[in-house]
Amino acid sequence: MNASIQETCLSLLLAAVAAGLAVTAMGIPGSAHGSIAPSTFPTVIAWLIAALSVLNALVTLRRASGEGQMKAMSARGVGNIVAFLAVSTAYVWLIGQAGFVVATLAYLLIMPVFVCVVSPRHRVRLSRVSFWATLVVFAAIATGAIYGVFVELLNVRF
Amino acid sequence: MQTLVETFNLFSPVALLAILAGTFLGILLGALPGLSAAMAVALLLPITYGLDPISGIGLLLGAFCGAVAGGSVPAILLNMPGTPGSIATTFDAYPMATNGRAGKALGLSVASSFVGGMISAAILILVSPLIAAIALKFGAAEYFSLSILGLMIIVSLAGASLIKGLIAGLVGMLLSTVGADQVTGALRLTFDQMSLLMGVSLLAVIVGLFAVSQLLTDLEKLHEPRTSMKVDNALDGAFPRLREVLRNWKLTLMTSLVGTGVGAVPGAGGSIASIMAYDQAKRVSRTPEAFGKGAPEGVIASESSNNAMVGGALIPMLTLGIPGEGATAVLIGGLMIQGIQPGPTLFDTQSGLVYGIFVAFLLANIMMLFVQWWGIRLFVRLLRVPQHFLLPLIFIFCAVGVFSINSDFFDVYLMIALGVLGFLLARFGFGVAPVVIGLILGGVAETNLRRGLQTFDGSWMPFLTRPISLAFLVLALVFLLMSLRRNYQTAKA
Repeated sequence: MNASIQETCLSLLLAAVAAGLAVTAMGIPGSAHGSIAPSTFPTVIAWLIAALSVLNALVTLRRASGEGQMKAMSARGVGNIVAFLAVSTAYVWLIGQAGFVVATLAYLLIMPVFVCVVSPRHRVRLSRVSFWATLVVFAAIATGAIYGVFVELLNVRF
Repeated sequence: MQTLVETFNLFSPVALLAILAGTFLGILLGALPGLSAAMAVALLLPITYGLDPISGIGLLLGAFCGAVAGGSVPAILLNMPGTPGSIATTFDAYPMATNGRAGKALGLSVASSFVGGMISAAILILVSPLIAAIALKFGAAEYFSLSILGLMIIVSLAGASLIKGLIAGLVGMLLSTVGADQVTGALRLTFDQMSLLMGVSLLAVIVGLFAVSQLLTDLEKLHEPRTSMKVDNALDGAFPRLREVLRNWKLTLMTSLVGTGVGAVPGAGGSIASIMAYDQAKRVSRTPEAFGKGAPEGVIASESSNNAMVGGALIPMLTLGIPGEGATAVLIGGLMIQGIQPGPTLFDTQSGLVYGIFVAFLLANIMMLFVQWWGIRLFVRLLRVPQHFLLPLIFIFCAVGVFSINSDFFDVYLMIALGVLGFLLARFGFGVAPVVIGLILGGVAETNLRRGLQTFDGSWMPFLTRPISLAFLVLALVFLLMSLRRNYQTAKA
């Protein structure tokens, strides 16, 4: 799928979401009181986004003959992002379940390994003992430092 | 005199320490390629929540100045601009570095950043009260028209496509409508989610759009081979070259004025400021042929102008409440978190705080000079921090920072979702700065439109008949037409 098709898909997705929000906004109760109703502003903006997104999709399709300068997103690139988002969302969920220290320690042990697995220029590090030793020390120190700054200094409670 | 005493009283040791810490961290983050000044300020925003207003805004101003200046380190040593404002720095600083003059290039960059920042601070202090005094006469109609003008300038200058810029700006405006309506209390687009009753968390939007989206951009390219980031240029005498910069005072003054002027135009940003200043410097130089081959004047022009841009960008932000670009949008977020609404009334009601912000900006520039002087070698070493440690660390900082404001995990999930949106918008050329600016200006536009209509008994005519309001709307139309013309010409080419 080239970049133009990807951009068209994104524009159409934006248009669909905006249209859905516009319909929802039209149902916001409240009268104008000599001004505009609470529903007017979000409804108008959402319809404008929908219309402009469709227009952008059409413009993008018109120049989709391959001369686009933008590079398309690769399946591997999308895979990297989806995996990162899955692990990171799980981390946020885990903070609520297991507490900040356990979740952060686990995240800081898993995520650097994930980055090294994904990246060819970092993958070679996985075979080195020094990498694993540094990883454990890094995870412990970073967890302690973030805990110290936010929980002890700034009084954040998880 | 009373204002002076008030201003002086605002500066506690904590405030001074906060400015120093902000400057240090700003340089640190700016020196990392790919982290913009807006992202640096966004990352530090949660820390300011527990600080008093002057310490909080001082930390953010320090981070803004530091990040812009720090962007020159990878530009000089790796030919890789740390921030967009350092693009023009690579033209001459990198050739200097490859010719064994990396230390001199760094020293010139530090000194010209300082001088540019100080000149723009002086202009900010002189010009802002005058603009604020005029803006105090604005009513609801003028504010509505001004917010439309601000948005139009930004969407027309921010990206290559007007349609995409408009979509991004409108997405921000739509986000500003979420939550309980301020007039009637009606719930708008909350989907029965209690966490959205007071609207979307500004911090979640800012961090999601600027920081998480940047992480996703880096992750997308993670599997691609990249040239090694090896720093092998020897650092000859890396100390600030103030004397050399002052010897070129005409050039420094001219490029600093260009930087401040461009910075004051919403949507223009550091890269335009430095490239315009570089171009001007080349035109007036006696040796234009040396530019691009390691001319010290090129480094002075780029670095003095990109730091002068910071002071310029603060002028519309403080006097009109209009953010000029991403980093100032984040700064406005920082002020709003502190319960301060920037705009002309701030000069009237809290003049001590305004002058405190001016002094904090001056101090941030002075501290930037010393932090870079003593820390230059440390910042160079920072370029070697492995990405596999940096990426997860930044995400944790984002998540914990966003959570810390309301102690609500919903905000963190919202930050992730907006990070994905921001990544997609940036990836396909829509831009993320217009979204945040739309979010801030959307609220201003709607509130003043409704207030204005109520005042004028439901009539729209005063928006078009009041001279200043009409002038803003005409200017907005001019920007729209100019942008349409540019888009048409690009499509034709």
